[in-house]
Amino acid sequence: MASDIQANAETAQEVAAMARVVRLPIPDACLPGVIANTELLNSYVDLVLGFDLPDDCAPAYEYTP
Amino acid sequence: MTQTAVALANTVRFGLRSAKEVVENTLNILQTRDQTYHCVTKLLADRALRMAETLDARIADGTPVGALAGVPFGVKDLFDIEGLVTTAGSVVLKNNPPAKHDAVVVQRLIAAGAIPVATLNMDEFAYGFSTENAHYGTTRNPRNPDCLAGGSSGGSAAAVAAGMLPFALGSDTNGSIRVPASLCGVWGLRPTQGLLPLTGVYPFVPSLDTVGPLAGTVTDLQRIFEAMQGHSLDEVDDVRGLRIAQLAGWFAQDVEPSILDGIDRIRAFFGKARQVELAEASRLRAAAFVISASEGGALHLPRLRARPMDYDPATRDRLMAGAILPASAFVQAHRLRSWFRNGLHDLFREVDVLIAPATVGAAPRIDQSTITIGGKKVSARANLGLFTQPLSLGGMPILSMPLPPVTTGPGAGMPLGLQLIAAPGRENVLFAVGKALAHAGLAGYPVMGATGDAG
Repeated sequence: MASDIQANAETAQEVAAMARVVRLPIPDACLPGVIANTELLNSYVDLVLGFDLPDDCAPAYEYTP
Repeated sequence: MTQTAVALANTVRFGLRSAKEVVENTLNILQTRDQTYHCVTKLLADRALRMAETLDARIADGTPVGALAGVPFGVKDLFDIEGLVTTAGSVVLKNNPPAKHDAVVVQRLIAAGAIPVATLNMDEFAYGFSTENAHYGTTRNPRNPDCLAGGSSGGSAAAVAAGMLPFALGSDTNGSIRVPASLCGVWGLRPTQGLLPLTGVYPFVPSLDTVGPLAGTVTDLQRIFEAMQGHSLDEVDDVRGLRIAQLAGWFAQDVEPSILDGIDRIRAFFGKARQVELAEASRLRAAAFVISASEGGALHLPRLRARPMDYDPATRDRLMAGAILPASAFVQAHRLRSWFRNGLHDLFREVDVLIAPATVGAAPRIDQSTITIGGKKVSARANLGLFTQPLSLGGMPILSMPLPPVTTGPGAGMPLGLQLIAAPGRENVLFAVGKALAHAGLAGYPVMGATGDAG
């Protein structure tokens, strides 16, 4: 429980810092939902960044069959 | 009594019913029956009746009319309709100017004789799998109104399943056609990425967005797709000779047994269907989440700064979290997409069609917050895209195909659906397989009030 509270506080700090970078004010009423979604997205970011790809694997922004 | 789009067009073209009579009847049905399901956000009554009268005059003159003459249809509330503000299931865009033109795919359907009669409910900005909309209400599943219709094209799927419309248009970024089609028991198509124009369609995730049709039969679905594409599909000569493979691993875990039974019957139909695994499915799904959140968040960032409280709270919090994601995660997700796509291209040198479940089971109840996956209770809504999201990354065409009604087991009485995936541009293969399976009684779920076949 204590670790959950600490993780939540860390995510809140992360949200505040990243939101400042993109000039996004986050109203207090939105903060719990944004923190919850950020924690969920962080788990997906970990999966994405945890996969090694060769340097010549380019991003695929558009689809050309 | 519900008629298929093909049958309805024939009755109009041959003068057995007027287009005006068809449209009047459809508007009446939507005004009365939709009170139970909440599919419709706007009726286009005046324009639809004018278009029907024009079509009837052309038929009376002997002027050729299209393959969908007089067929009424609905559009998800993110397609431009001339003269209306495109709201994308939100109130945030309500002060935008009205659309100057219909979306291009709507124009093509109108050129084929079809008549738009309604705009249909969706998750706000297409960001969800449930069609629970804080502004326009929750669309209910016609098969059981206590259950979700799925989303985000839930109004489209439910209106077709209820027998209120012969077909409807939806959009599919992460599964927004395939999930509601499956939960409501109708056919739906996510076409090859980039094949159909998105001009006049409000974006969600531009690098993953597609638009496609939903219909009660696969024959209707093909006819409508051909009109949207602008030409007919090539025939497939030897359907039973196609190389079919079931996606195993990620796509066979925690799945309702009736779905796996349906896949087994299809494998038996083709005699020699093999099983293959897609590597890294959980990372592919994660990449779809990251790309969607990033592109969606960036798109809405100016409005999130200015008036966040106008958004549906669920959508707003997702978009805000997406808008602050680091760029490195977004770029890596797109690199993962490239890696996956190359692997799929290799796989489609060995197989013609892949089969996978569309969802883990039947539509959750509206009051049900969790489902069990991997032994853990997880959000029912967030996990409706468990099997559709990884495949969205590939860009391949995917047919959402309803299984026939089952009478026993946990899913009894509610539709269950599969995904059929083919190589890019091979929609004709998907339709050929869908029609063969429907003919064999292995696919298709009757729309409500239908008297004909379900395939």
